[in-house]
Amino acid sequence: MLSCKDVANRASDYLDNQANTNLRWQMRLHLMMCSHCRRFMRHLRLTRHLVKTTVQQEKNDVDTEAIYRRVLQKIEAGKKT
Amino acid sequence: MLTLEHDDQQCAALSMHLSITDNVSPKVPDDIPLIERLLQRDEQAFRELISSYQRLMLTVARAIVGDVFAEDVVQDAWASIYTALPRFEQRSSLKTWILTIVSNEAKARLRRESRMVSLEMLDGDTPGSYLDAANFRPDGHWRHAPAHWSQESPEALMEEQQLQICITNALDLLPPMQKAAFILRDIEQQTFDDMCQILQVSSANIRVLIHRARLSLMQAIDRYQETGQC
Repeated sequence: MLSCKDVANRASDYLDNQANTNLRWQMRLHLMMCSHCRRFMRHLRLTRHLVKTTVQQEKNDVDTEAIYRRVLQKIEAGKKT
Repeated sequence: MLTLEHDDQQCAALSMHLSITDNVSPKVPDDIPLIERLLQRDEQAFRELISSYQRLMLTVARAIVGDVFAEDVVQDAWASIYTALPRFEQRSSLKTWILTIVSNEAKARLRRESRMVSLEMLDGDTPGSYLDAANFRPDGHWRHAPAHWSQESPEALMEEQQLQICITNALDLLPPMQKAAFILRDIEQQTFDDMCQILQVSSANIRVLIHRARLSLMQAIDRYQETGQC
């Protein structure tokens, strides 16, 4: 029987489908019975979603032109040496 | 304690010889028009590539070689990518190919500088994290319930600008290896095999890094829910 500590330790493996069948069943059984772990797992899922959405909304402030120019200069310099 | 190493052997089973020859993931259909333009030396296509991948490449480089050399490494990687494009055989996705090149550049730089980054120091346990033994009773059950969130609707939460600031700050404060593992997995949807190859740590260590990163980010949201601040 898994403890809450076990569930907290392996929660990401469960979400990422990296837990074996036995562990998955034991996690499911524990989650059915434990409201604290259900909350923990729910918040972990939500965290993943919120961070992903936040990052995807961030402005891309990469100075593409400057980087491109430096790449070309580097290649040219490499040809000369 | 987790011991993290840049471990070629652990990745060896996953066809770990990293080279500019692509050999890992299947081709992604979305890449095809861009690849065709790149192969025709379309300058605008290369600019688009820089715009799409510069930040991700910096994240990977920082994870391997540290902050001081990361920008330099990425610059070298772009030059390698530009030069190697005609040899890109499209057996892996463009993203995996690019990230493999930046990973190779970072590893080469690490060797040149003879500077082994102590990942154990950089990415160690965070005191007070969810996994802290103090949070559990001797029988392994929670000593206290995980923090209550007054709002659990993703749509409503995403409307809270202060929360987005807290999330961005928390992500920036993660140790470089954790941040890279989190971004590659949860934002970029990379497979564990590809991540093992790109970051040069074992799959087991990658799983630990991702979990720690998620828990740190979750605690940032806990703090926001409790105080309204970061």
